[in-house]
Amino acid sequence: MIQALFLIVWTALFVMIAYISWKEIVKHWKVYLMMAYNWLYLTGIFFFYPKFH
Amino acid sequence: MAALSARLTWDLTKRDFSERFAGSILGAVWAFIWPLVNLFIYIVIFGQFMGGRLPGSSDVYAYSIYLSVGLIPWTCFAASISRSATVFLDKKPIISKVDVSLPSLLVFINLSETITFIITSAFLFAFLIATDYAFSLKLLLFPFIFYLQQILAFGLGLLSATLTVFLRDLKEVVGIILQLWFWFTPIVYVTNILPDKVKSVLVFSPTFIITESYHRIFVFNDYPVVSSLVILTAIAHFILFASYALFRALEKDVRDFL
Repeated sequence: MIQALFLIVWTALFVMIAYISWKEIVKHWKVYLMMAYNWLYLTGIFFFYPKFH
Repeated sequence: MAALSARLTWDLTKRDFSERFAGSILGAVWAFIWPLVNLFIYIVIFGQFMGGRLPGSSDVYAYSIYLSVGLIPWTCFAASISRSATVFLDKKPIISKVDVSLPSLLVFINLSETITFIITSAFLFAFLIATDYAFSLKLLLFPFIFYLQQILAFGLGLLSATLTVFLRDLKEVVGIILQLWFWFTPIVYVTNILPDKVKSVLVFSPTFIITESYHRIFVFNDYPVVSSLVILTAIAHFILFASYALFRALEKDVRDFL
């Protein structure tokens, strides 16, 4: 159960931060910022998810 | 511009689906029939009629599941890259008329292929439920591994799309590379049959890591190898970063060429 909770909280956090920082795609550096967020998001999932079993 | 691109991306995705089955009586129903037929081939023809068995497993459906969880994501991955390679050329009329963000044209291809993937996966899960498959929480990783796979496909697709504008032969090269890549990924065969030398090289292939991860969570009820997935996540994002940087450097030339 804690695994599913981790996925939900981690994803909600990612969506929230991504939405706040990327409301309008006007500056191209924001695309690079999103890539960095996305990298952290997926790395977090793959690294921590098995640790919660 | 951003809102326009988002709206345009969604419109293109919908049109991609409707155009595919335009003029047919069943229309969008074909979007469900095709995945069903493909799954039937993987499970019944390969798994049952041809008697494919997974070494070390007594489950009669083990090879069918092994094959399906490798082939379904691969089909989406390969189609995303091969269709992306020519997207700027295919959508030339739109690009020349509307000031559209070019990478958003790749998003519609990825979205469209992902919808097909979701439909096929839904049929696969229905099959798993029907065969009393033991579901575990490890399967929750499935969408995230698929997401990583599509990031890699997007990065490689953007690179191919940018370069194909200048060198049209690249679309054929992409097709050949994908064909070879498929057979160098353990989708229809198990890794154990490979010679040690080949195996030691293939472990560095991104699709090897991705496919092995699917097999581990679906067939072997195990977690994927964390270190491989973390390294692959970094590599996929680096490819995406490099492809986008290259695209930005060549964007003006791409538009001029088109």
